[in-house]
Amino acid sequence: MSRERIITNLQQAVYILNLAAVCLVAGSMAVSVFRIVDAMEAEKFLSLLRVRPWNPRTIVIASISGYLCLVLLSCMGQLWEHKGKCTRILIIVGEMLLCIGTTVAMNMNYNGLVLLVVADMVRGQKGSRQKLILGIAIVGLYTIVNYNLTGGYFNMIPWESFLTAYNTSTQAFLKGILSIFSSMNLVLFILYMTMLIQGEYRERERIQNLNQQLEEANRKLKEYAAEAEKNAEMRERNRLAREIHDTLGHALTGIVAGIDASLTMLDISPEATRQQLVKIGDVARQGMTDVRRSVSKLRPDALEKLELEDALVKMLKDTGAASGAHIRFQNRVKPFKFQEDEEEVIYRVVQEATTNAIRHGHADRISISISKEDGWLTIEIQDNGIGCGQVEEGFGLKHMKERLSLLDGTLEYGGREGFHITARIPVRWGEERQ
Amino acid sequence: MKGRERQTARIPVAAGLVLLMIAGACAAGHLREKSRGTVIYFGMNAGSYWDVPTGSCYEVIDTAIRRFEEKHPGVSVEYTSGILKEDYPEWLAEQILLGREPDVFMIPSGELDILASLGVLKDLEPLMKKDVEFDRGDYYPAAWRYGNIRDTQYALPYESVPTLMFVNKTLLDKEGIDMPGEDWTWEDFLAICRQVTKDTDGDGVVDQFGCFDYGWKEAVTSNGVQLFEKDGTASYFGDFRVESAVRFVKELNGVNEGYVVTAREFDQGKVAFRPFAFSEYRTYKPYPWRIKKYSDFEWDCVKLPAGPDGTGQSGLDTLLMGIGSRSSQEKLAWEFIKELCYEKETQLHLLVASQGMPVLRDAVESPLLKQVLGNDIPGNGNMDVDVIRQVMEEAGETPNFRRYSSVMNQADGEISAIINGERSIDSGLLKLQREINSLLRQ
Repeated sequence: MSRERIITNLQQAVYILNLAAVCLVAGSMAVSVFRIVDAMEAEKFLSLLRVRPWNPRTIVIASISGYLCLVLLSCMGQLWEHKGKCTRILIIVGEMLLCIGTTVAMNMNYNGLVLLVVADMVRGQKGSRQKLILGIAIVGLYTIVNYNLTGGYFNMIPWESFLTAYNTSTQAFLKGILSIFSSMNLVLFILYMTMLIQGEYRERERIQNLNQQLEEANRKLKEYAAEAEKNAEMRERNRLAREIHDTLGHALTGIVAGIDASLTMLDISPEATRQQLVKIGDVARQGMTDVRRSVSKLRPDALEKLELEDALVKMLKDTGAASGAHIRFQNRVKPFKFQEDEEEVIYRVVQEATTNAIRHGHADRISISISKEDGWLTIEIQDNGIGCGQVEEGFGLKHMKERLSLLDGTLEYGGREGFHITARIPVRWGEERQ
Repeated sequence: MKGRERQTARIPVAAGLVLLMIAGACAAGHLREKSRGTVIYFGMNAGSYWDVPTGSCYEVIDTAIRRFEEKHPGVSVEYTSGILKEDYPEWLAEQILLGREPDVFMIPSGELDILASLGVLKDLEPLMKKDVEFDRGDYYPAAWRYGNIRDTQYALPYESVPTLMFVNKTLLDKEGIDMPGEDWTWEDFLAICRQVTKDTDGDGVVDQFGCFDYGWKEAVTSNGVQLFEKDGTASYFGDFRVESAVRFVKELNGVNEGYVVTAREFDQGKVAFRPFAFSEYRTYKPYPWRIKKYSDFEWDCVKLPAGPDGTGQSGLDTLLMGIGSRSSQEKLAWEFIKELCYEKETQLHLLVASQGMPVLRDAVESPLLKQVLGNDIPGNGNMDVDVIRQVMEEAGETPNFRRYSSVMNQADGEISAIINGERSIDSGLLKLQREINSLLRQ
């Protein structure tokens, strides 16, 4: 049998057992009153009491209805377990009141109902502050419904007074039955609590286990990531080494060998040496080409294939088409040809700024202009997006700054109505190729 | 999981069904009750409350009910008839246990404290406060205070019976003694007793006596002592006035030289005095009962003789009416209890048709009293109406706390021993006070 099933069965047993106890106590009280009246001992009975007992019918009806309401509420509490804190508190308060009411209706002669309410209270409690409140509530409830503690104060009539209507053996029998009910109720309560606590313990253990597994997986993932990074680095290093070896190494070896040969031949045959030097020049040129090719593998694709301006126009056209934004590109610098690293930075700055304007600024109009002034190349990008007062520097802006600073360039940005970026690069105009 | 939920749902559904059935049954009972209209239940015993024969015990009540029903159309008053006085406390207790106690009922003698502390009786203070017409000062104080427990009025007095002194006029005439006056004292009483106690037929045995049945309780009351604290927490048996009362009774008993006077001698007219309840006076004085008892001699009643510190107060026995605390008709019940206990017409009717005294000053002071007492008594016997009024006004408060009767039984035994000379008076009384006080404190 599953644990849940056992708990359900235990609960039902508790409900039925308590019903039997309530019927026994309330029933015996009512029957006693009738017996006393039949035996014409009402006056004597009353003179022994400190308070008038309830009408026997009221005792039975109030006890049993009160108890049934309590059961109803308890079951509802289980079905509505997930309905939130307020519902739970309302149900618990209702159960406590019904418990007190029913117990008082039985003149506090049976207080087993407290255990039923306590079980319900413990079942749904969470957190240590709730535990404290729960503890206080349980102690309070138990105190209120305990005849020996408060029965005198509330003017309750002890069961023994009612039992005087029966002969001694019947009295002993009834007391015995009630004490069996009480003990069984206690046993069932303890069993139920044990099951509940065990279940909670197991649940906690399971969660702990899962947590451990998760941590382990996380750790492994981090290791994998580090390893993969290392691998990539290694691969790149190997490729560079190979490349250097194949291109630069090859060329330099040829050049060194050629120069050595030229040195030897210089005095013997200046003509042969000249030819040799031409060959060496070819080798060096070939090497340079190779190196260039190697380096160019790290450049953007568009730049590889197209000129910078064409590449920019194509990229902006593609971006505009993809995002639906209207992008105006204005280049006042002619000729538009720079060093490779400079071209790459220009390309990347324009690309990043456009992407940012669309992605973060939600702009649909972007204007880009590139101009030249006092040896500085100025790129200005203005959009009509939401802009921002306080710019939080993200990865994109940081990257742009870094790229620009490699070329001693600067980056300024800001703007409330739309976003404005100004990038300035000191272009090495002197080395500009014609 | 589904099976479990179905199983869990079975219990609340069953519980709900049973609850619905109970609610239905209760509602049906309530409707049936309601269909009977507004009914005030009244609880009373048959026969006279004062242990005297009576022919029409329901007359006053029936008339009052008729008047009440006329004043409150649609309301009817019902009572169970035929419950004997000795069965009445048990009947009431049964009704209380079964939750069917009447809305308004007579309170069995000496049970006010028990009923009040059990919570059976409604506290009348709020009702009286609300009722501007009602004035507690209209009642004689002793009768009024009898319905009061621990400063709370739980019952209204309906009818009272004071104790008077029966005087055998024929005997006194024969001895040449005048009827005692209004202000006679113990000395006068003792002197007459000494004078009449003698052997009349010369057989050497005393056969004419001063008094019968006059005990220490009458002496104590007529000496103006309250034996107990009102709430029954302390007693004052050690009071010098109690001592003088006991000393007086001892002296009085000494007159008979040890002979114990019995009721037979009294009935034969051989005794001059006897404490006598007003109810008996009202019963045996007029026809037809006057031929049944004390018909061989002329007799009348006077006040009890006054002790040195008292005015001749007498004990007052009062019949109380209360409202059940569970009564659903609080207002009507109050109106009805007022019809019985506060309505002058009802109280005047008591003068004619019952054996007790009304408890309202207005009723007692009406000319009807003189007329009734005069009509009742043919011949020369005619009681002074002013004496009755004075007795009612001055009557000592009768304690009504729970243990009164058991405590008095014990005190009676002890004081009898003191009177018989088994114990000394002063130390015996102090010891008794100590014992009773410790009993009361329990």
